[in-house]
Amino acid sequence: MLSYVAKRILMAIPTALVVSLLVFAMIRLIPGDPVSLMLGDTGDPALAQEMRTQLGLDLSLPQQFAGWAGKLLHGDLGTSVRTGEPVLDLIMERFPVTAQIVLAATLLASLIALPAGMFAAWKQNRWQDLTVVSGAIFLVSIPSFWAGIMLIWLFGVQLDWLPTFGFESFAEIGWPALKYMVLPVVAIALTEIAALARMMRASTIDVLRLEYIAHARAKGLPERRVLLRHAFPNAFGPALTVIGLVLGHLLSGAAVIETVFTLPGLGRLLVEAISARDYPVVQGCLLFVAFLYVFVNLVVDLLYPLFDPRIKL
Amino acid sequence: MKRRFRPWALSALLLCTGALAAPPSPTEIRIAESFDTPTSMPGHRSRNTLTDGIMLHVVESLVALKSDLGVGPMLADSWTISPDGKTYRFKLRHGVRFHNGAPVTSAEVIWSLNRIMDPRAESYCRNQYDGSKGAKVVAARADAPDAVTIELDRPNALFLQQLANIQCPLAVLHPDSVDAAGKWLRPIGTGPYMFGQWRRGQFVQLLAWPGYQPRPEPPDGLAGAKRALANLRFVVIPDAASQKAAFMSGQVDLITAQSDSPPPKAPLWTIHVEQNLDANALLMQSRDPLLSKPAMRRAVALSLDLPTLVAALTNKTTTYNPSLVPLGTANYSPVHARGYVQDLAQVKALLAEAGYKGEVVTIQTNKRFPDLYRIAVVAQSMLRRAGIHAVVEVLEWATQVSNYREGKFQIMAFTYSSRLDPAVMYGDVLGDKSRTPTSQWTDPEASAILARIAGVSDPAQRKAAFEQIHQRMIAATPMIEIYNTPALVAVSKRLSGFVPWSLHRPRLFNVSKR
Repeated sequence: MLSYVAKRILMAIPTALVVSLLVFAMIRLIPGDPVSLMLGDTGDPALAQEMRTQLGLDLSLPQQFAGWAGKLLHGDLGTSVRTGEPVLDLIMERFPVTAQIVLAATLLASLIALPAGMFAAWKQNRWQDLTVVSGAIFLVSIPSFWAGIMLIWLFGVQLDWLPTFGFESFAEIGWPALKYMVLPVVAIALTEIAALARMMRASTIDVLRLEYIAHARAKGLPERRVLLRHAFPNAFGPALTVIGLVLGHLLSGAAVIETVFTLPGLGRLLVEAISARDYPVVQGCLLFVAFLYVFVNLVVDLLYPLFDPRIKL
Repeated sequence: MKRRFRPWALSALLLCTGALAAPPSPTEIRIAESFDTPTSMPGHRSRNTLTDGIMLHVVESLVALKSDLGVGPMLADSWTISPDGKTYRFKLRHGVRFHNGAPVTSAEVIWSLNRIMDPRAESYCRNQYDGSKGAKVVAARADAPDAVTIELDRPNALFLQQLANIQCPLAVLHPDSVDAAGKWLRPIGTGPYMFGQWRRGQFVQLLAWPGYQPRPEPPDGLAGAKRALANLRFVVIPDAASQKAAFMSGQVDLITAQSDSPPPKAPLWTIHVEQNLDANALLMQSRDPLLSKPAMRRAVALSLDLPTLVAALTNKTTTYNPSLVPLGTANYSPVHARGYVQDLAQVKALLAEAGYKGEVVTIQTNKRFPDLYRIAVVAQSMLRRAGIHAVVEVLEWATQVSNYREGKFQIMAFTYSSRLDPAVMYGDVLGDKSRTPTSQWTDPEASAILARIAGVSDPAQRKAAFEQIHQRMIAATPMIEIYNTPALVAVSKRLSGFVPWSLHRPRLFNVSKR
């Protein structure tokens, strides 16, 4: 297994190289630059030139890339053009916020969607199945920002139960942090429940048609045991793949939800950096995201054998 | 069966009863902002309006802006100006202390000025003192612990205003604001608030400074007596709908409301209309083959029913202002109210004179500033009605700023941020486009009028000069100034003492919270 992990990490390096080169080139192809944004409507070409020189933006693109890549090899992602802070510090400050919300949302979505999907499959074509499928279609049709705003309106404005903005770390203040997490976690989970429940339902239906399930039932095993002990492990594989993809996607920044709920997460950092043309931060964030995807998918791959003994790494 | 304590169950119960949603501390005023400040250094090159809004509570200059945008005493009790207008002598106020308890002396004033002028300090304001923009500071010395002299290379009638400018103040700071290597740490100023906790992307907290000694004069703008009656928290809420929700639920006390979707009328809050100095305009590129013709630019201007456009876009909270001199300020006179009057018959003649054959004219705008988008859309409709084939191009703000700075546009809906004096605004607009593409109007005669009043302090002479420049501008039609942005500031009725003003950075000193 160790050689498999090492191989996967090595395979990530060329991916990261390609990503870094693409990101570096693409962000500079977009019109606009950080100096123009900082100076705004004041016309002072001398000051603009001086700032470009200070920030190294007057160098040729290959020189800029070589400088950035050279630092990268030493583990230095550069410093923010706007704030002068190390990019790695910014990422490390913002990522735990995203991770906390996203992991909680994925856990909540899994806890609801997996049983719901299995239940729908078990009751296939009956009213219970129809209810779950309709609910999933309804939830998948709701844009997450709209769900977020509605939750804020209901629980923040009308009922005045929960804060409408802000964030506190669970690790730092413990249970009181929950009140800041509830709405964003629910908003994210609502849309994820739909995808997961549908995948779980489909894979469970397939598994329930297999002969070994009929055999288990013929042995007289209780239906609950058939479902949980025999059907679940095999049906869970495809859902695990979806969880991995969703997790990778969300961990790389749930920018919309972070904006609606004012969470200082990775997605907002990236969006703000793009708007400000803060090149080092954009490059650093996207490189981090690329590695994150590789890592999450690696973890998912490593988990497969736990549920399906036929899979060997 | 043995029952065990389940903390999650208790938490869920508390959540359901709302017990965890504690209201903010009653002694803390919360102000919502759309974006975070990138820096805690006043006048840093990356500063934004929030930086300015925070710093006006934390730092002070020798003089301070009054409500009429003149200057009053602050850290300096008095000052004299030499007859040649080049030497300023300031007498410092006694008993003022920095937030670290150290007394304010002339040494810190000189240190603060020298720091702005040091290129390593990355100050956005250096060009105001090094001669790039206006007069150059040739000497600054401490004559006594309470006396400072600043010498300029030439007279500058706006020098005192420059010291008090909220974007680039001469913020008098304690040297401990930087580390031994000169790296910026945090502002240690003299204002009624101390810089407290800063959680990036979340909030900046300012704490009432108990050692603050208010000036004896009554409050006036940023001058006069200032008292910190509650702590402040500037919270970052990027989404406008979320800001509104936070305000309506009482979780923040003050927001700048969207003009098209303010909070509904309610007994719990008041909505103030602030007449700001920001100037919304349609810029026209005179280097464009089509718009280089004065007849074409004039045809564009006379196609627009500008009073109707302003009334529609601002819900009649302000009126059409054709001048770069802001409405309602001391330099505004009836001459500045004379602008363009829609005349479609004349437009037809002007288009024929310009040889216009239905070419497309593109109006660049963005959606980050909804006013600019709406100006472009309404202008497009009016131009089309007048026979000009206008199209709207919506750009991302960074792209639009870049195009503005490079002069890459035909017509652009654009906003100029507030300038304290019309001379500064005209100075930024006038110039040689081939050298500075941000210049919108090349007129050597207007530039000469402006240069003549650089050292003139007489208000009547300055007012007359601005009238002359305005008349020349309307005649040449290099751009179409439309209105000064009104801002809707929603303020909770739990706050008392809030007074709106034209610089659109809320002043929270002398404001208390029930």
